[in-house]
Amino acid sequence: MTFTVSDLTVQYGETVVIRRLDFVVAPGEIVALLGASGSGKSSIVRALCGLQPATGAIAWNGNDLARLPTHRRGIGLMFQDQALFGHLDVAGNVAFGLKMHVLGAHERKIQVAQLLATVGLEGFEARAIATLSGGEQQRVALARALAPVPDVLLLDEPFGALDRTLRERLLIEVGELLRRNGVTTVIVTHDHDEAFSLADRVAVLHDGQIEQMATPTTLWQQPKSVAVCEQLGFVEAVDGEVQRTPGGSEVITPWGVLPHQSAMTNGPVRVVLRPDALAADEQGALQVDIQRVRPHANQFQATVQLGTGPRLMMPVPASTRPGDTLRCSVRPDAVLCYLVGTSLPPAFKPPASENDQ
Amino acid sequence: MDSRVEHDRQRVGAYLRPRIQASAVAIVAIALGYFFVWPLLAIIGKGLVPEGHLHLGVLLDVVRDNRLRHVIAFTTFQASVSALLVLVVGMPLAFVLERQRPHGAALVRTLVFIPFALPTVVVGAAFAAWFGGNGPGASLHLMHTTTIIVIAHVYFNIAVVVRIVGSRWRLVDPNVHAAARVLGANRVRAFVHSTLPALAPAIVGATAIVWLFCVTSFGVIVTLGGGSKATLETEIFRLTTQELDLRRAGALLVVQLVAVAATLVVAARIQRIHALTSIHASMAAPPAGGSGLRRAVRAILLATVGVVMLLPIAIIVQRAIADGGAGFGFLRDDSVLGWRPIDSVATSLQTAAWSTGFALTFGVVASVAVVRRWPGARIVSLMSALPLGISAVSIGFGFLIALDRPIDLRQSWVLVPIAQATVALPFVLRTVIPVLQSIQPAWRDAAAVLGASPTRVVRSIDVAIASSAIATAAAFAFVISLGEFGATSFLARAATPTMPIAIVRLLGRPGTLPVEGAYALATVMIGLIAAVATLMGLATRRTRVGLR
Repeated sequence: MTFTVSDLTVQYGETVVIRRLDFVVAPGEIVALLGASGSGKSSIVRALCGLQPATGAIAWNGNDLARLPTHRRGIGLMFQDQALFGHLDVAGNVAFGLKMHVLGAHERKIQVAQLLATVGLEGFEARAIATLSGGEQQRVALARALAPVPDVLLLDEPFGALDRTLRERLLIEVGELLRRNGVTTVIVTHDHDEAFSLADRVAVLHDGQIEQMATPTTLWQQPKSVAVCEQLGFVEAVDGEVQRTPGGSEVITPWGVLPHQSAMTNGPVRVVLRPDALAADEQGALQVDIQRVRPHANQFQATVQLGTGPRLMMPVPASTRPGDTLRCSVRPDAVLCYLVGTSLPPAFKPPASENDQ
Repeated sequence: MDSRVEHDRQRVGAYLRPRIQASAVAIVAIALGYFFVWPLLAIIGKGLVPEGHLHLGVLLDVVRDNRLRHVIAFTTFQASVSALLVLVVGMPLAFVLERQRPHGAALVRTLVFIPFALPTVVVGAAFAAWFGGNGPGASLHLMHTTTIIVIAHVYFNIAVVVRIVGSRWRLVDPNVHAAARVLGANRVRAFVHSTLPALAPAIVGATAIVWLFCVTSFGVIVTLGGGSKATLETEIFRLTTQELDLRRAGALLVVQLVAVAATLVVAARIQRIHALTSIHASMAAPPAGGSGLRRAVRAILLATVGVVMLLPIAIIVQRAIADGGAGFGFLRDDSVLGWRPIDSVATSLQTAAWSTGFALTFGVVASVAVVRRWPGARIVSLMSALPLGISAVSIGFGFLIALDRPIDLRQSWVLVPIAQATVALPFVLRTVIPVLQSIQPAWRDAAAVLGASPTRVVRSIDVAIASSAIATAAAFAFVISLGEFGATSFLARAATPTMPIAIVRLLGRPGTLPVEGAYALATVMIGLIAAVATLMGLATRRTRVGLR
C-alpha cells in the first residue's frame, strides 16, 4: 500500500522543470516536498494528478496510475488557491466528490455534516463560499479533498495565504486530522516550518530533483549541501579554509576561526552556520557586537556582528541592549563545511537517524 | 509492462477536438455572415452601387434633397437634445442610487430598468394614453411634438446613464475627492477636478450609447411623431414601403451607418484618452448619512422617480380596463380589421420562441468559442457585436433586399424570428460571455481530481454555472423578440402581425375602440414580460442552489 513515484519528469517545451524524480510514501505517512518558489513544486502535484503532461511511473499499491485519467486515479488534491466552486455552497463543495462516487443524497448529507464537523465547521452547509474567511475556505477545501477518501492526498501550499496565527493553528489541527485518519499525504510547500511541523519526512527540491530526503531532525542536523541549507533558511554561505589542529579541526572564516567537527583535510570550503551555532557564554572565545534585540517566541534574539562575516542571530539575555558586546561560544557540530564546487556532505557524522533515504 | 508512460496530452483539459470546434465556429460564422454581413453589404451596395458601378453622387443627392436634409437635421437634433437631457436627469440619479445608496435605492434601481424591458411601442402607447386624445395630459398638446419624443427618449434611456455612470461612480475612490477638499478645493472644484475625470469615460460611453439609441429610435417616433416627425429610420421605412425607392433608402442607411461608426470611434477615442487620467477604484464609498433635510430631499427624489417610472404601465392598464374592459373584448373581434388582434399574441409567442432558440443556439456556441479561444472565434466575436451599432430597421431592410439568394427566404415564416434573433444576439453574448469567463480553470481541475469524468466536468462546472446566465439570456432574447418592432415591421406579413405591429396598427385606427384594444394588447404584453421576468428569477435561484 505504498505510493511510489519513479522517474517522474515534467517539461514545458524544451525546459525540464522536474528531472527523474523518485520517492516512496509509506501508508499513513506524511511527506513534504520543500522547494523555493518556481522550483516546480506545483508541477509535481499537477503531474501526479494527471493535470499536467509528464513521463514516469506513479503507482499506488503496485497499480500503475499514470495510465489513468485524473478522475480515476484516486488521488485527492487541495489546491494552492483552494479552487472552491463559487457556484456551490459549502455543502455543495464538500459533497461534490461524494456525488461523483454515486453516493445517495441521504448518505451524502450525513457525510458532509461529519466532514464539516471534522474540520470544525459544523452548521456551515448552506453558507456561500464568498462569505467565508480565508481560514474557513481552507477548511472547506480540506473537507472537500478528504470527502471521497482518496488513497493519497496532495496538499499544494495549503496554508500559503493565511496569516501567521491562523496558519500555526491550522498546521497543528490538520496534522492531527491527517494522522488520526491515517491519510497518506504529500504536502508541497516553500516553508520549512510548515514542512517540519507536518511531515514525517521532508524532501528538499533543488534544480528539479530531490537534493535530500530525510526526517526533519536529520535534515536539520545534517543538511547535505549548501542548497539544502539555503532552503532551510540558514544564514548565507561564506568562503572558508579548513585547518587540521592537534585537537581536531578548525575553519578560518570572515566570522573568525571557528571550531569544527570534521575529518576534512586542509583546503578551501563553503561554510554555513546553523541558526543554533552561537550561544551567549561568558567563557566563550568569541566576542559579538549586539545590533538589535527583539523578543522571539519564548526568548530574546539579537542580530549580531561577528568578525567581518554576514550578520548572525543568537539568543541573548533579556537585559541585552543594542551596542553591547557579548562573549559567546560556537557549537562545533553547527559549523557546516562543504567542499567548494560540490555538494559533498559535511564530513562529520551526527547520531544515526531512522527513515533516512 | 514499461512503466514509463506518456500521459495523454489531449485528454488533459481539452474536451472537444479542434476540428469540431472549427466546424462549430464555421457554422456560426456562415450563419452570421449570411444573415447579417451579407444584408449589410447589400444595403451599402444598394446605396452606393446602384447600377453596378460605384456612384457616390447618391450621397450628394441625399444632402441636396431638402426633405432628406431636414430629416437628417431633425434626427440629429432630437437625439442630441435627448442625450443631453438624459445626462442632466441621469447623473444626479446615478449619484444618489449608486454613490449614496439610501434605503429604497435597490427598488428604485429596479424601477428605472422597467423601460428597458418594455417594447418601444408599448411605451409609445403609454405616452399616447397620457398625453393624447382624452388622456390626463391632453391639454398640454404634446402629441406629435418634438417635446414628447424627447421625453419618451429620456424615460427610455435613463437606465443607461444610471447603469454605466453609476457603476463607475460607485468605484471611484472617495479619498480622491477628500484629498482635493483637504488641499483647499470647494465641493464643486473637487468634483470637477477629481471625480469628474474618473467618471469621464463612463459619461462619454453612456452619452454615445444614448445618442445612438435616439438616432436609431423607431417605435417611439412612429407612435408619438404622428407622421409629421420623420427621422432617418422612419424615412427609410417610408421610402422602402410606400415610395419603393430602395436606392434613396439605401443611401440614407449608408449615411446612418457612417454616423454610427463615427460616433463609436470618437467615443472610443475619448474614452481611451480619459481612461488614462481616471482614477481606478480601490474601495466603495460608504452609504450616505446626512441631515434630515438631505434625507428628505433624497427620499422625495427617489419616490418621484419610482412613480414616474411606473406611470406608463399604470395608465396602460387603467385605459385597458376602463370602459368595462371593452378593449379586451375588441381583441377577439375580427369584423373591423379582418383579423383578430388577439391572434397576434400567439404569433408573437411563437415567433419569439423560435427567435430565442436561434439566438441562444448561435449565441452560446459563439460565447464558448470566444471564451475558449476556438480557432476563428475573433471573427465570430466581431460579427456578432455588429448588430449593436446598427439599427433594427437596417436589419429588416437588409433582409428584404438581400435574402432572395440562394433561396428566396423573403416569403418564409422563418425570416421574422431570424431577424429578431439577430437583434437579440449581442445581448445573449454580453450576458453569457462574462459568466463563462468567470469560470476558473482550476475548478475544472478540482472537479476532475474529485472524480468527475470529462463530460461530468462540463456538466457540473460549465453547464451548472452558465445555466443561470443562459436562462437570463433566454429571457432577454425572448423579451427583445417579443417587443421587436423595427425589423419586424419590414418583414411581418399583413394578416399575421406580431403584437407590437398590431398595437401600432390599432393605435392608427380611428375611433376609441381600436385604441382601447391597443391598450389591452399592451397590457397583455406587460403581463407576458412580467411572467418571463418572474420565470427568469425562479430559474436563476434554482440553478444557484446547484448540487445540493
